[in-house]
Amino acid sequence: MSSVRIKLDKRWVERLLKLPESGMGYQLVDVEMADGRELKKAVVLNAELLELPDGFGSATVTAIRLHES
Amino acid sequence: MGYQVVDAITADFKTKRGIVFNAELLVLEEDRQAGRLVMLRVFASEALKTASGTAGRFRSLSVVKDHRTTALSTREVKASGANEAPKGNSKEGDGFHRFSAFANDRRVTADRSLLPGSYATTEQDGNGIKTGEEAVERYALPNDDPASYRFTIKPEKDTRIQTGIVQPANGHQGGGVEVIFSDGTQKDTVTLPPTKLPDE
Repeated sequence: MSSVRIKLDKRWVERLLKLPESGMGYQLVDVEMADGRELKKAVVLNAELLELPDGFGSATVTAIRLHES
Repeated sequence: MGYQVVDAITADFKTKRGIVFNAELLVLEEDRQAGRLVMLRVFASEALKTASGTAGRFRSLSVVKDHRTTALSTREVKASGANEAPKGNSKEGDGFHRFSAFANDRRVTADRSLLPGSYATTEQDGNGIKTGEEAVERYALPNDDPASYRFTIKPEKDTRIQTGIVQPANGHQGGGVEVIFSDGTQKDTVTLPPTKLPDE
């Protein structure tokens, strides 16, 4: 499955930098979108680049939580 | 008595179980199952000749003790990821590396510290990484862009850390040592700018 990367707003970046990493340089997160869709275990690189499956690229992020495995 | 069960990480990042006799002769389990241990018993000098041929093929060697793994270093590490490891403290002079695809790594602050919850690896483990692609494989990174920027971290003694082994993930083998700086590091502990390694 191909994916797109979106650059997160500053407020999400600042929030993610206060949370621990899931591995070197990345965090696994659960994301809620404005249209009600949710995405589990998405990857955020360098606290600012969110990788989303195709079709999510234009969605607006309304919540990001660290994924708990 | 006289032997150690080990996991060896090969040059192509595969893990192979084996036995080290007398702390110097490694016999891989696959060789033993093929009957090549007989050679060791019957004609030790021949076995040693074979062993010398394997020198340099391994990236790291970890001693397996019961169900726990201890790396051949000054610090104990478990075979699980660092996030499951108990908290310990860095020692005087300990060095660490952090690999990133980004020169402007956001976990490195303006005052040259690492933010709490940031990952790195030991200097010993990181020194074996020669390219950004090797870092992606050994630390099982989800970003296939080469992690070619190497940051060096020299925290103060007794900095809080958790140490473990990178588990296979994201289509990568893992197997590297990973360290979490639970409380981050002190200012002026990260060397900037990072060293740029070849991508591949």
